[in-house]
Amino acid sequence: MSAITASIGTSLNPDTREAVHDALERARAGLAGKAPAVAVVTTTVDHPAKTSFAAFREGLGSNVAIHGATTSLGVLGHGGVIAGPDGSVGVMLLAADEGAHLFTASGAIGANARDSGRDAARQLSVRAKGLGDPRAILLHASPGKEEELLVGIAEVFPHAPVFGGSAADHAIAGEWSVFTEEGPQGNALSMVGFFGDLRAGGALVAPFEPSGSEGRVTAADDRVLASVDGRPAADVLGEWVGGAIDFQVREGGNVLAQTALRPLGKRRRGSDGDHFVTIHPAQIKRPAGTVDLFARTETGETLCAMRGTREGLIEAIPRVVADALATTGLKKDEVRAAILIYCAGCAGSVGALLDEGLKRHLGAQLPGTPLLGFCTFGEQGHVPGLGNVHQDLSLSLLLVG
Amino acid sequence: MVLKRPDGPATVEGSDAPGRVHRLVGYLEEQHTPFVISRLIMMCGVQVRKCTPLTSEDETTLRRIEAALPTILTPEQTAAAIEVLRRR
Repeated sequence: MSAITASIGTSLNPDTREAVHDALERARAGLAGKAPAVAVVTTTVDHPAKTSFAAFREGLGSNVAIHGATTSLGVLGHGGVIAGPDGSVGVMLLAADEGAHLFTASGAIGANARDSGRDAARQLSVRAKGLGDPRAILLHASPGKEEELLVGIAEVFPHAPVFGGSAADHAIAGEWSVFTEEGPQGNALSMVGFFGDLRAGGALVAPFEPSGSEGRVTAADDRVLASVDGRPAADVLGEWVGGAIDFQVREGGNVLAQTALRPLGKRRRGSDGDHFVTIHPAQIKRPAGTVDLFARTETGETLCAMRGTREGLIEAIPRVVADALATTGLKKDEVRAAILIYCAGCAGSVGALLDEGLKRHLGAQLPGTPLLGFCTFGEQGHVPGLGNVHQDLSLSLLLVG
Repeated sequence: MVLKRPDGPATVEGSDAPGRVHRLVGYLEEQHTPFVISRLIMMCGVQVRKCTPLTSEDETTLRRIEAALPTILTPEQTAAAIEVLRRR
């Protein structure tokens, strides 16, 4: 007897309703007649979120909880990057077998994101009354306040590992949605809690190493880095990255591509050694010389210049699978469902290599396991000895067995 | 980070060479995959898929697209794509 049964469906049909219908039909075929409890859904923003959600709700009925978020670039899976000219739709249907329990919770992110995270976690706790802490939580949230959401969740579930990814669009234009129980929302969070007689957990990997340069943050406001060692952050970043962003350092502009392999990092100490919380610089603002980031930094902390390679971003796929298997103690053939979170900036940077890497590594390491992958604007995962963290340019993998 | 609103295809009244981005999108989809277009949108911040054969793009938009091409294509592929984009 398995703890859960999962099945995947995807579609490149340009018509949103038909795409959802196709994906659900394919997913249902793999459930062997079992009734799903939760649908983890994703679409690219080419499909209108309200239409997608309505089609999912119509196709699933009212007894299946819907959880998910929009993905950038495409849907990921064993078949590589599933991306069409008119968008992609993906769904994982999850059915709980005897002794296993799945619950969802969601809500809008209010002015105090910590409270929003705590409230959603309380909602989950109430629904799972008597079952104790979840084995793991799958989180999807809008980009912006993930660190605070994690703090709020930890107030209710201090020991539950959280894995997930931030909702995304193609153009970093705020077109993303989180699929909550109430429908798609632009600024919200949604969670799935895995409770009871099952094993769930995962790993978080960012394949970068410090390049040797570092500096102290002398001015920052949440996700805007203003100065490092008393100098404009843009100038310092320009030196650390090299000539590749000279134009943006002078004029301002998008530096996503150039910094995908040259991010910033915050050194933290986990039980397995140093862990670098990686931060992706997104945009340089002139004339201020500030740098917009996809994760928070604070005045007084030290930032390291990090470096990686395109090949490293692909080799991180087998690494995150191996780490997740080791953490959960699951053997390959015991994994019943996998959710892969792959940073959209990394995916954009590695391009076609990702397609090949997913096919090669997932086929070898998790053969036959239902796997749904998202390209996200921030990744969350549990680091042993450090707890749940939000960072960028990372891979997060949740396994359930 | 500070979020911005989506940049649709900027248009110029009376431009004499409409549809250049639309032509580029068609070329890239034919030569590569739809994934390349999604990556281009991410890197330049312009919703190139919304450009039609009748859309006249301003010079700033074209420059942003042009600047993003080397981040997703090889130098040879970039040169060919820019030729397609700039052809009148």
